[in-house]
Amino acid sequence: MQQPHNFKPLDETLTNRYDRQIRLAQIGLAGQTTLANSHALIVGLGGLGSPASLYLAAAGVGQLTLVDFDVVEETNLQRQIVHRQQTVGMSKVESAKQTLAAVNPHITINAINAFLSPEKLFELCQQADVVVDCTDNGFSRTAINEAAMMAGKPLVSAAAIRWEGQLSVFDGRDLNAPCYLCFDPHANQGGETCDAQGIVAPVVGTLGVMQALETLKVLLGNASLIGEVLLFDGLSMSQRRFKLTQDPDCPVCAARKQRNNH
Amino acid sequence: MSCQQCATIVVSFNGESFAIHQGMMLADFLQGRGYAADQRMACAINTQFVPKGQYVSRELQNGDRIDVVAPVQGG
Repeated sequence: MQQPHNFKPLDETLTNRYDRQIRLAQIGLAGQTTLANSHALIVGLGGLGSPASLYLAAAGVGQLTLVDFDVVEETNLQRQIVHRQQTVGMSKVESAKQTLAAVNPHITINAINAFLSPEKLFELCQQADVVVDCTDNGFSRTAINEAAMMAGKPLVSAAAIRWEGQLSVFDGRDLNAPCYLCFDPHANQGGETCDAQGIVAPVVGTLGVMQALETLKVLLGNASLIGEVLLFDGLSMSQRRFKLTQDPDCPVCAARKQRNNH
Repeated sequence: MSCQQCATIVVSFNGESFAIHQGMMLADFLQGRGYAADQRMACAINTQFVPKGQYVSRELQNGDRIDVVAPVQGG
């Protein structure tokens, strides 16, 4: 893997901290150093973003940029485990930053308390190594997908409702890989929400944790779900996997190919 | 004497078996199951999602396993 000019080796404190991951053949000191030098953009600090950010922070991803425009509410605490009773009323990104910094003081955490314009979203995607979509609606998902694909970045996308969830990796680095719109072309028309339909805390937690796992694997170069959609059913405790190819009619994939040709 | 026009095949749909006419397209099958053409869903044949524009031209084969998945958005 090519190392950027500011690539920093791990010191002794950190090799001790991450020892249990460094022991794994697929990670090792080189992989852990890659994680420490990586930057993940996490959009949404709710039911998915809580466990995803906690695990990415704990596992030693060196820089996390957190984006959300919401404040912590009492009804969030049932499942949004990065937030605390004491942070009700605080912005979600600030609340999350406090918890994540307490979990791991050796990483950099940027908190952006805003609803992002497409331009700003694109700019943030360009600065990141991986984009983690933890939002709760199709409008945001569509915007994040377009920004990540146009920026040529991998997008780890999870979603959950009631007892079920879905997880996939859309690889913006590969012009021929499918994107989120290839899976759900009309996502921006909206759909069911957890507010209305309900969500079981450990179900969205499971999806967020699996999303963190797949994000680490994207950074390490061995993601499993590129061009695949994993369906998780927490009620029957079953999983299914489906293959996804690029939709020839996908406007985002057409646009990113065109952009690459110029 | 067999009649090509009348031949039936068997496919599974969300785990349930259906006997259908040979030559039936995916779009017609889904319509028959009550799915509208513009419905928000992803449809897979043998665990491979079919792009929406190909529903009308994708001919079902004997033994095909068809699954309809509703994309979810919550988080």
